[in-house]
This record gives sequence, structure tokens and C-alpha cells, in this order.
Amino acid sequence: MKVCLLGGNGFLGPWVVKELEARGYDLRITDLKPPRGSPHETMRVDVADLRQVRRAARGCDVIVNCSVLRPHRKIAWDVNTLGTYNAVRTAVDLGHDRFINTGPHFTVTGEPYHAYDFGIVEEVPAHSGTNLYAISKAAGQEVCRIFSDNHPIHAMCMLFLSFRAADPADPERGGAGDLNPFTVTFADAARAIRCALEVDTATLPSRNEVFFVVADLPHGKYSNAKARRLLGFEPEDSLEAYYRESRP
Amino acid sequence: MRVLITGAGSDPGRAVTAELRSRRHRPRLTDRRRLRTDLEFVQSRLGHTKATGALVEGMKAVVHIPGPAGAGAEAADWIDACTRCTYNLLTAAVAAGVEHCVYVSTLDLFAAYDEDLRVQPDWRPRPTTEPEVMAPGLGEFVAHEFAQTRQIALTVVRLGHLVEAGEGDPADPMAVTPAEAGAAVAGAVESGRPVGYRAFHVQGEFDGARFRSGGYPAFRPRRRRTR
Repeated sequence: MKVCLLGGNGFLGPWVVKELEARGYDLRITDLKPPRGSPHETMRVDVADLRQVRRAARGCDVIVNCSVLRPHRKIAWDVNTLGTYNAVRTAVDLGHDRFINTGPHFTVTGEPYHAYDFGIVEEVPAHSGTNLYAISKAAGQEVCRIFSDNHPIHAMCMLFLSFRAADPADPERGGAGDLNPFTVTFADAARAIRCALEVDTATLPSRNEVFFVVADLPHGKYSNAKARRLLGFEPEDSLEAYYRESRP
Repeated sequence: MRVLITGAGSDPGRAVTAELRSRRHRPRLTDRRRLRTDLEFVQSRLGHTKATGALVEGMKAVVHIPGPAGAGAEAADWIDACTRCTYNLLTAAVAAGVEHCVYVSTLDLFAAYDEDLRVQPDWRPRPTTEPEVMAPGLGEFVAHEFAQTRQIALTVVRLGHLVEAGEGDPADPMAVTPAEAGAAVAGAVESGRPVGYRAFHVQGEFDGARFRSGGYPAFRPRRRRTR
């Protein structure tokens, strides 16, 4: 299977590459600044440009959209909303059976949920609030829902927020202090994306499914039960060490 | 009342302007294109700029008619005009203390329902992926979040297809005259801000009309025969 990876050279993209290449996937890695020296096919692509996305996806069987832009008031919409439209529209035009999108859990459970609730699941009406990153990604997710309502494509939205290393002593992604309650390791996030690529879509309840991809954490704030149940996702990295104190 | 009308050069924009003016309001108009008018007019692309802040300054309400300028607009233009520009406008409106936004959308969002269903305004929109249908729905989605978080009161007015009385396709089951559309939006402005959010469907009343405008005290179309 050949995968077109949009935003393949960001934070998460290289981990998705690592996960998929180990399973023998054929990859086309695209980004505004594609990786240098990659053994895979690479291409410079601006997801806000439909023609570039079409060119990038030509000959591929599936598109995984890891592109993201957070603070810029124009480009956030160009990448997070219009980019998602370009990607899912291209997937539909090419007759793909699935499209994998990514975003923050705030697209569904925005600030009010995050601040006040527990046992939060993704099977609720989406309320992103008006944070730019959340609402522009949420609009992209709504585009996915509309396309899967109107066309025979499964649009799966994988939701993450914070990424940390399993080992708090890791110099790059470790560190002291509490985690964001919605945290997972890059490796587990990439595994979840592979699960979405491999799941039998006939087993999914609808053509538009949203999944929380979060580690097993002791606070009980968010649940990854749906990803476990429907995708067979099993987080391998525990982050509990961040919450444990060594006592004499 | 001081009211800002965006998309003032569009067909619904002209209808709303005429109606609010006839009711002695003082609309400020804006559009992407330059307009010839004797009313206050500011050309704007609703960017993330101080100019958008100035546009809403002193307004009690905003009538937002989103959409790209001109025919032949591409999907990117539609999506940008309805999502980012709505976000910019409402962010500025909230900062300026504007109380009420009337978002003008389309009844095409509900065309996918079976024709014999009595569709209500609180039903879930079912847009197609045509940009001119999907994008106004995305704009509703954006505006809805501002209302949901209680930053501004929101009235969504979903219009049928604007057809001059006695012109166009008289068999269009979603026909509404510009005068009816203007009256409906002006009624929404005058009836004051809702608590949070409300939505209304607006089209003409005639035999074979696709949707009903019931439950909307500010708009009572006269029954007519267009079919």
C-alpha cells in the first residue's frame, strides 16, 4: 500500500514514517520542507493548494494528513481547514476507501470540557470553542464529516494534543512536572495511525469516526477506550512515571 | 439602530440594506468590492486587521452575509470567506462589544432531507460538498462556537433561493423574494438578541413550498401563488 503523508516532516510525521516503514509501507513524504536524505520518495507540498495535493496523492492508495499550523491567523485556516478540504476531496476524487486526518482533542472537547469534566470521551457533540487552533482544525474535521456523509469514504480523525517521551529523563521530550492530561508518546500516536490504516472499515459504526489517542493515565480525565475497541489500539508506553514520586 | 451589513453588494445584502433603511436604521455597509451607495460604506476583506475592528466599532448588531465576491469563485474562496472571515469578524465584534450577530445562511443545507419531511430549523444541517453549500454551513459552525461560549448572541437566518416575484423559475420550491428575505433579516435584527442561539428558515409561502418559515414571529410572508 502506498501512503501519501501530508505534513510528513513535522513533529509527528517522522514517527509515522518510522512506524509505517517498519511494516513495509511504500511512502511518499510531503511537507513544505520535506526531509532531506530520506530513503523514501519526498515532495514539497503546500496543503493549501489543491493542485499540489492532487499531484502529491497521484498513484497513492491513501492519504494521511499530519499537517498543522497553530498561531497564524491566516495560515492556520489555510492549513487546518482548507488543507483538510483539499486532502479529503483529493482522496474522494481518487476513489480512496479511507482518509486519515489528525488534530487536537480540543476539536471535539474544547476548553469547557477540558477544564471541568472527567471520563471525557469523543462520542459527544463537537465543541471546540473559539481558540484559533482548535476551531480551525474542528472546521477541517467538519469537512471530513460532510465528505463521508456524501461520498463512500471513511474519514477517521485521530486526536492528540501533547507528546512526551515515556522516560521523564529523556532530554528532548521528558522533563519534570505534570503532564497535560491529554498526552501520548509519538511512538504510540504513530501506532494508532497505523491501526487506522489497517482496520477493516466494515467493522466501523460509520464512515466518520473520531478517536482519542491518549496514553493510559491515572487521572481518569480522558478515555482511549474507543480507539482500543474499534482500532485495536494498545498504547505500549506508560507515562505513569511522570506522576509517581520516589518515597523513602 | 447601528447595524453593520457584510456582503452588502450581494443579492441578499442589497435586500437587507433596502429593508433596514426603509425601517429608518443606519446601516454601515461593507463588501469585498467597491459599492456605489449614499450610505456609509467601507470596503473590506474581513482580514485579521485593525480595519476589521474599526468596522464593527459602535455597532449594536452585525448582519453577516458571508461569501466570496463574484461568480466563478473556487472552493478555496468560499471556504476562506465563510470560515476565516467569519472568525475575524466575530472576534472583532466580541472585542468591540457588539451584542448580536445575524448570520445569513442557506436553506440548501437541508435539501438532502426527504421532501415530505417537515424540516425544522433546529435539525442538523446536511450540506453537500458543493462549496457554495458546504462553506456557509462551515461558517455556521464557526459562528455557533462564539454563541456556544456566550461571547455573542447569534441568530442564523437560512434563506431559500432569491427569486424576484414573477421572475426566475417559478417552479423553484425554495423560492423567496428579495423583499421577503430582507424583511426576515431585518425582523431578526429588530427582534433583539436571543439568549445564546436561535435559527430560522425563510422562504416564500406557496403551494409546493419546500420549507416552512414557522415559529418566526418577526417574519410572516404573505401566501402567494408562484407555481
